[in-house]
Amino acid sequence: MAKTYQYCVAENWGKGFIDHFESSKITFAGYPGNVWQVPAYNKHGNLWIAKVAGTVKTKDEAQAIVTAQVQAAQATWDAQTDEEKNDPMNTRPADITLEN
Amino acid sequence: MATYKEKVGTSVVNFAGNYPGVVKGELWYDSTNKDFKYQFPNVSVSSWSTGGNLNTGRASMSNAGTQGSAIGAGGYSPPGRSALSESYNGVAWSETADLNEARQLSSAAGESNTSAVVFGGGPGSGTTTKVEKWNGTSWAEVTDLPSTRAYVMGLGITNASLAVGGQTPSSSYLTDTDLYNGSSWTEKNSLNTARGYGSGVGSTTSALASSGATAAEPRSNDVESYNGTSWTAKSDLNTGRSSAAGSGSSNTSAMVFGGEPPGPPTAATEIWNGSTWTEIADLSTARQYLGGAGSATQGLAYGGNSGGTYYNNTEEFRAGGPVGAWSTGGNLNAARAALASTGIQTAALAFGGPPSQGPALTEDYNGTSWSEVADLNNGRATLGAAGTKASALGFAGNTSNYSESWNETCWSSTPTLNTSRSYVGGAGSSNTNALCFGGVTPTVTGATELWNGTAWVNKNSLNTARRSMGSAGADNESALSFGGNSPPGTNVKSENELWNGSSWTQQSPLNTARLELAGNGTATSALAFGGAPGPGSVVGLTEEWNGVTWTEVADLNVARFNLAGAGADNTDGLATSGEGSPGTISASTEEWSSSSNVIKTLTD
Repeated sequence: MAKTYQYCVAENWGKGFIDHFESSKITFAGYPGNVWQVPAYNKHGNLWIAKVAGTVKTKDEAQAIVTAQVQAAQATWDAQTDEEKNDPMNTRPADITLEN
Repeated sequence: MATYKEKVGTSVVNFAGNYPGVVKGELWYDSTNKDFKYQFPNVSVSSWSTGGNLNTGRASMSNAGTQGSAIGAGGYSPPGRSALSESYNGVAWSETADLNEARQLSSAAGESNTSAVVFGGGPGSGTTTKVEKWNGTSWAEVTDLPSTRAYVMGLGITNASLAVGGQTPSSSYLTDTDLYNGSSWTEKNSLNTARGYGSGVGSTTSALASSGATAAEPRSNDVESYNGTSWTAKSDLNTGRSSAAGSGSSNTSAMVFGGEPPGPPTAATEIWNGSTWTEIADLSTARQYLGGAGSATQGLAYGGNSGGTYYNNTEEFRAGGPVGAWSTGGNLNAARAALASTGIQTAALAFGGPPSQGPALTEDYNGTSWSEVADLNNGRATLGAAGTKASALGFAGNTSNYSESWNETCWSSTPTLNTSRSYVGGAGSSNTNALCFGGVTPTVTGATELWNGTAWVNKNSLNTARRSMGSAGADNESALSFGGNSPPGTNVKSENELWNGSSWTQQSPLNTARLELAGNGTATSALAFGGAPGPGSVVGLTEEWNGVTWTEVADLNVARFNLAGAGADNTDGLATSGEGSPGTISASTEEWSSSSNVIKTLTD
């Protein structure tokens, strides 16, 4: 099945990391671990990855990075006391599944 | 099958080139290029771009301000609640004095990063009535909320704000609406539906409360509108959610973004026009408990959390709309650089220039062509200008203190400036109302002088002494000075300062630092265009000022520096002459239109 998205790892440096022109051309999705999703087979997505010097990852590699981040956060959460877990703000991090 | 004429009511026009009389969607035949063409308005789509990152990633902050001037105070990131406070200037976040009390799930109202009020917070046994006010330097405790609550919707400005809804320490949702006037709280009419975790935007006379959690629906899409007296139910959001952020100015102009729908946090953004919610551009990073500030056309999203990550990401929203463009106008009769210009796009005056290019030449523009009129008495370049085509003032230049008044017929000398200089900035409404600032004497200066029709009077200097800056301003009590440079070295500046009649204050800087650029407009609606970002470089970059931030728009067709700018505001600009590359002088004039069209060619 042809993939819909491509993934890379790039650190968001702030202003100019994603500009309005890029944002108007493609849809970005950022995930834990500095993982970014952009459309596959797309000129603007490719140009943006090159601009931010992103390290391209397969979907499985990107999923592994995100999952490691989430699992670390889940382990930290699980180790908390019941009182801390009862803080409604402090919900257990949910799993994230990347799309192909 | 119906013919084109039967369907459209006219035959296809045959025209050599681009047909100037075309209406939206109409087809014409370009006999020169042998193409069928059509035209439509050029518009940009709404989008989010990344802004400067928070210094400390966290969720559930208190948020207030605008896209170019916001605060984020308190919040949560493991291991607990925070007293940190950060200030955003449109470019970067900087840490400020801490809150007196660490808090999360509190709310805020405020107009900028120098004026805000934070109230309430929680959760559970930590829920508080405490209120703190920010003056740009420190937080001070002020009158408590009438009741203990967290997850409140805060909106308005510091001394006219509302605390709406929320949750009690025992987790009951509230309908309470309380008005803060800067010193005390007054109970107002309640929400129809008790809720917390919602998004509140607007003012004390025109507000919107949307999304959140209610007793019946933990991810609500309920919306209520406030008119200063009472709350009324409005059309639902498309996506129900809690812990979303919002931005907006009234009950007819608002936006909701992010939050927690059923399932993982969302990036979805919806915009409200007073009657319906429309889904528009998503955030780049889906998150909940994020901060929101600004308006429905210029929103700000920052912080928040998702998947155990506490983000420091900031995103800036820009609403879609017409795309502006420069088009060519009539050429100057005598090409020259370092000249001055004033007036509007259809009635402008350009004068001065270097010795070899006609230093005393004056030309007036009627929107189509330039005509030579009476010369300056003292020919010179690098001078400043103020006024209109009919009533103008030319001052300084070539390190002189000359000042000359134009009465639509001729120039006459006026009392001179107190400080001789060149490469100055200028603003003003007429030959009796002007402001001269900055320049080189030959050392760089920030000196400001005000012309009252009789004499030049010394005023407070620019905070950053500069030369070769762009300038705008409707009169001598309201002006803007942007860019320029401050030797030694090139030391190019992006600084932007606002004149209020007595002093200059720093504003959001240009996106691109440069010198020898031009500007036009007023202190709240201006354009900056052209210039040199550094030695040997020249740009056609154009930035639009809306009173808060600079936004890049379409470039000049001819990149140049040492050009002249005129025009009423950021919808009416005129770029005249200038230097395209060292030694290449352009006579070209370009006219800015805040809307433009795209011409497409039909293909097989």
